[in-house]
Amino acid sequence: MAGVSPGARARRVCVIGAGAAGLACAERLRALSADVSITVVDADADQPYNRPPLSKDVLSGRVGATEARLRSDEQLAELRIDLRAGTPVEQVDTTTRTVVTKDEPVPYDDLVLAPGCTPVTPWHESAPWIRTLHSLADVRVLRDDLVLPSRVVIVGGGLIGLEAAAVLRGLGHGVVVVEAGEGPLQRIVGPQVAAWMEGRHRKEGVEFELGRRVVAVSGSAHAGVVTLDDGRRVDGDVVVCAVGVRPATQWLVGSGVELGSRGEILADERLRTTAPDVWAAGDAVSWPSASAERRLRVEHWTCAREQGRHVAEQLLAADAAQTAAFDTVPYFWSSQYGALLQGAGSFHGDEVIVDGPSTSLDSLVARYLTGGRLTGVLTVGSPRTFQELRSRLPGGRPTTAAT
Amino acid sequence: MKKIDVNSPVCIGAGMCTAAAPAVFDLGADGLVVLNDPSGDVPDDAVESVDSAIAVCPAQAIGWRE
Repeated sequence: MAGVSPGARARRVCVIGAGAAGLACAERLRALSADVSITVVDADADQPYNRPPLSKDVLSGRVGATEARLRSDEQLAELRIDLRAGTPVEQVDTTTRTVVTKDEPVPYDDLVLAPGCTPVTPWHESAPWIRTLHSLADVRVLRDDLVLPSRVVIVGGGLIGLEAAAVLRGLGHGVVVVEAGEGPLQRIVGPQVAAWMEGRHRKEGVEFELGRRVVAVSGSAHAGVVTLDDGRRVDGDVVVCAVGVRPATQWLVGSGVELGSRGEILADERLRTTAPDVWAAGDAVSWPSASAERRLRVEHWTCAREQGRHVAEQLLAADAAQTAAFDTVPYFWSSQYGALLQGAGSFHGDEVIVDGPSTSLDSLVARYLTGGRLTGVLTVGSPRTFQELRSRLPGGRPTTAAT
Repeated sequence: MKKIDVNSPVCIGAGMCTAAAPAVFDLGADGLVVLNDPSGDVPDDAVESVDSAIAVCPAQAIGWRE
């Protein structure tokens, strides 16, 4: 092998997680180095697939499971990425530099943690049949449930819950969304945009139970009962839990990789963890963002990809002059009823200016200001306006690490 | 010269490519990706930026022509 002296072995990088961050990291490593050996381990046997379409076109059936696959076996072989899908990691020994899996152990010189998140399911014990929408397997199960017209209760009015609501209405199912906040997405986007979202979904026939907590889920897989905090029951043929996710990092406890109070991996500004030569990327990671002036943990796809690439570049950087801090302006998109929803920046501003809600349910432009300065933008069905406003956000160009 | 392909039906108008490689990509009136040079030719000095654009495209809607 060129550049490797006789007897020397290739540097071994192990990536845990074949999602957006892990795969982006592996591919970037290969693009930058022909020599490094790359092993990617993931518990999910279906990996690598594209997660964003799961709650959209895969759920609707417009895109099949095969099309959702990100890389074929042939492409992975060509990239010389040794993907071990269906292999859960049991623990990491950062002293002997070994990843312990249920199959053979993987020794490493450098380790990249990109385990992603796992859905929070508070009612799993009383209702182990409750559906989630996180993996390809989840979507398969849910699609099998919904062969006949059904009434679906979605617990959680966040992005995933609303995307599912839109798709299920499109398929002709009845949908009730139960949300603890006063409006759907309200905790993320604030009351004005939440009111618009509610109106948009109600127009399509989605019912809402807002400001209501779920105190119990009982019944059975095809006759679920969701009990609200005011004592009322909401019945559904199917109950979907979409109340959020938490970092899938329990196997890291005691490894020397420091975790935060919510199980997130605490990385530094370059995305290094507290263990030597162990890096982290994706939505299980929090890092000190210079632009946000606080630690951020971002659950969005583009951020995960950017972090994966950044780690690959940092890991291979030969000297300090080539090292750089990671930062980004969080960006997300969603697709509901055929309209593109896009958001960037921070939605915690002290002023929100909304164009459109009184006149139209087809488009929306919301500007979030902090001290009179534009710090966040959210639009529906207005991609050009979105691009223009995003470029005016502080640090508004996405980091793409062009070197 | 390397050539780029865009798969417009899967484009979601995220605009990541226009930010990464503004010399090559733009958004059309419908908000979806268009090539500044419809032939798909990418000058050598823009190849790196197009690589970045391909990597960050959330819809996997752009790629090098094989």
